[in-house]
Amino acid sequence: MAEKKQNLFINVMTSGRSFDAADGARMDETVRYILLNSMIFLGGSLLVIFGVQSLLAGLQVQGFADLGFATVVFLAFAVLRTKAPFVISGLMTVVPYMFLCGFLAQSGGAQGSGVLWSYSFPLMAIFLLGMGFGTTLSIGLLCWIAAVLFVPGLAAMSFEPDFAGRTVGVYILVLICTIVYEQTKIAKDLRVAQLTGALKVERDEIAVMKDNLRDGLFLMDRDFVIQPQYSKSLEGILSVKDLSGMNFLDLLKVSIQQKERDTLADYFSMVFNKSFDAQMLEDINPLHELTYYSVANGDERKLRCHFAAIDRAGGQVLILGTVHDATREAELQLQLSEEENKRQEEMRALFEVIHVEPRVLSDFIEDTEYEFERVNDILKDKTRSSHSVMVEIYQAVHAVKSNAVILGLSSFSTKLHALEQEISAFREKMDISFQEVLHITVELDKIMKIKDGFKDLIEKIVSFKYGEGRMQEEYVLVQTLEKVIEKTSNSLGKKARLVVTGIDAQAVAGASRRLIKEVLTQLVRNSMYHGIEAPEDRKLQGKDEMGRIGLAIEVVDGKILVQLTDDGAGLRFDKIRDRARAMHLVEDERKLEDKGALLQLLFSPGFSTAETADLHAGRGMGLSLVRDRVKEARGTIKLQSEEGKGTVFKILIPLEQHALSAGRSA
Amino acid sequence: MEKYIQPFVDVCENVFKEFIGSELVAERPHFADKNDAHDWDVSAIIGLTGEARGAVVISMKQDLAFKLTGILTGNEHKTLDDEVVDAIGEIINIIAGNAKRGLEESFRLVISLPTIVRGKGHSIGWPNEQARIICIPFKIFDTDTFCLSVAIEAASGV
Amino acid sequence: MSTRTVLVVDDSRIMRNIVKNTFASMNIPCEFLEAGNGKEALAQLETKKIDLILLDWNMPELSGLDFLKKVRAMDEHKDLPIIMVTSEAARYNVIEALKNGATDYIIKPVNEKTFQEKLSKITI
Repeated sequence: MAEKKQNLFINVMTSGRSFDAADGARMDETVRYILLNSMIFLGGSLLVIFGVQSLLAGLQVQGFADLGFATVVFLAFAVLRTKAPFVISGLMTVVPYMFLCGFLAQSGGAQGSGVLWSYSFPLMAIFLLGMGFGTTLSIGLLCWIAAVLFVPGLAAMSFEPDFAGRTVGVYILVLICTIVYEQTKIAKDLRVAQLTGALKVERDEIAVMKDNLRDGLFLMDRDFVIQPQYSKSLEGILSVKDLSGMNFLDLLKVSIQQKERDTLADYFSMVFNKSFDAQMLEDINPLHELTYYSVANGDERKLRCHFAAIDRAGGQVLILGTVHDATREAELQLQLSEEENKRQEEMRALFEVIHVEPRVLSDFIEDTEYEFERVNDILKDKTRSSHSVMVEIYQAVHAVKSNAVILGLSSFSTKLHALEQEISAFREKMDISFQEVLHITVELDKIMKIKDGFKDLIEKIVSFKYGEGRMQEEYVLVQTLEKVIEKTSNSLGKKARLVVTGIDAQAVAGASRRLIKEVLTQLVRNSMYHGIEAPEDRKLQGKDEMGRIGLAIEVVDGKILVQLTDDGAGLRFDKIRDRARAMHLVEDERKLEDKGALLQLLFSPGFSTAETADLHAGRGMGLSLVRDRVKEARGTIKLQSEEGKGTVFKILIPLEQHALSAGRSA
Repeated sequence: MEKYIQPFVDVCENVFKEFIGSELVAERPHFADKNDAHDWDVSAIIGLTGEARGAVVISMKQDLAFKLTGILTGNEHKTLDDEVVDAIGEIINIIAGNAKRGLEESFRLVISLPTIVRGKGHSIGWPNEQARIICIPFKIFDTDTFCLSVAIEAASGV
Repeated sequence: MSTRTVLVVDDSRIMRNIVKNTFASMNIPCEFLEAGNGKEALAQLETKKIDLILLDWNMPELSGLDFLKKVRAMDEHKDLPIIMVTSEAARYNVIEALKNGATDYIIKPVNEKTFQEKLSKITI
């Protein structure tokens, strides 16, 4: 209740203006309001009293004049509470007050003391109405008083000239002092305003610089409390808002262990105390590089911090902390070193490859391609379960890896090993998802890309070696076939050689080259597996231990004629018959008598007379593949055989078939 | 490369489910040679550039194209006429559009407007040199198949 | 320049020799005393007047840090220059040492240049 009364009082005295002791400029204004309101009440009350007195004494004019003025004064109170300019209320109060003073002077009072009221007038007038109005009105009153005091008969009593002189003199003194005081105040206020203005500009400049700093800048005291003035970017870097008043070490709670934070506190003490020189302090700065996690939202950043002691006036020492966000730089650095590592690895791989003899490498490439084709066939085989596919892919990758290891291609074999591990994990699962198979497929593609790289390298090296723009196709073909023979010879323990009677370059150039190579490769393999007998067997038959595989390619009547002969065992019709029976390929037994029909069977997929399906042949796909290829190229394949003597394959392919070469469905 | 392929697979599955109302079954991926002959009748090619270069191609036989067109337009078609091409184009546009959003945001990739080629034995202009493409067969309507072929390589090495 | 007495505290004899040799190559006249661990070092300290201690960190019996604390606790050795020689480059450990009174630190491997720098900072 008391508070309410007090507030009401303040409200009335300040005309509702806010009463903020801190703001100097506004205080001045508020004081004026308080003063004016005081005057209103004082002056107004006096006027009312005099007015009533006069009326009671019968002095009507005076009485009503006084009351009239009182009304104006109280009106001024109301006006003051509005937004009307202060000067209006001021005039409404001061002018009546002027009349009041004039009246009191004129009426004399006890021992002529009425004029004493006038001494308050210059102060009030100038303070409330400013220099202009204030001085004018004061001078006005001065004239009135002078007149009243000096001119006999004007006043209600007579005054001694000395008295009058002194009175007027002092009034002038008061007026002059008031003017001087007010002027000084005005000048001082002006000066203060200027200084404040200049300070503001400086502060704004500094604020702009501070807020636009990219690095976080802050000050902290001995208790590690962050001071209010810090650069805006600090909030962004630390991902924490309103840092003022926060403890810096607390901000590092998630980033650094307690023990290390304690040591950090020790470090800061060293900085505060300047225990060591700047260089040393920087050398042991634990926050020189920091992985920071925000306590607010866990944001991660790489930061570089620096601390220096700052002496402040009054003996206070603060630490100036600089926090630089080095995350991007760290990323770039990581990227650079990763790329550097990649380069180095590539160089290493290249060296490894160069050290392998081209022919051997060529072999390896071919084998890898072979494995890849095999794997691809398996991928396409919808009858296979994902699990069995994984098993097969694993074997293929393993095979290639083993070869890579032998050749010393450690970079390549490492990648293959990694893939092998991945597949191994999948092998264990019964349920393999599409994503997983896709992943393996993509990894296989990557491996094959590396193989392609080897191939390019080979081509370049060999063409350099032979000094020709392109290797001659026939040469490549013969090389390939010779390799096939070599490999199969070794694994089967048989001996054979390739005898080339002639190859028409035109036939091997262009699109048909691939087809011919594929077909011949398959047929040569077949020869080695099913045709050429083991050396002992051959010896028994009176044949040369070394088998002979003959090759001739010529162009006849716009067609390419490819002939592959071997002096092996020829087709074993009884074996074919048995196999067909075992595989239930024919219902009608009579069909099995017809050699022609049996030959047809030979070309069906899945047919194989080898006892065990092994890696290179005997998978049963070979001859059917050959037939399909040849058919797609709009060619024909014929086969002649004599038991014990050998086999001849005759393939006719039309020349100039560009678009369709070794077609496979996509 | 996988990170680019999987979104396409997902988008295909979604689009076919929402738009055509049919479930797709993604079958085992395998490899193919871009120079090989194929027996698809119509292919839609969506090119990719940016941090990776290459193309995604959706190929199908005309019977499937007819079926899909039938679902969309209600009309029966016996030949690969313009309406069929348009219908297929529509489907592919939606696939490309959806894939665009996911891929362009996550990676610095730009996906081109699809082009459609038709005719038996039509050739597909793959932008890369590499011959090997990955084919993902999708089974639809229990009996039909179409193929999503992909050949993408990162611009700076996979 | 008068001969200074330097106490080398390190549990590895090889390390001690390296330190001695580095000093020798800098042509600073020194008399060397050796200790294999903190306890021996304290013993040496009691009997001889020592101008500088080169102190290793990881040692049996009494570790470098503990030795440092003990020495600094003794009034007469409050200002004795003690340089920590450590393979522990971790800044936190260095600060720990400095907090406990080490005058300076050197990170192994020691080389002449660093030694010179550090020694010049100490007035013996």
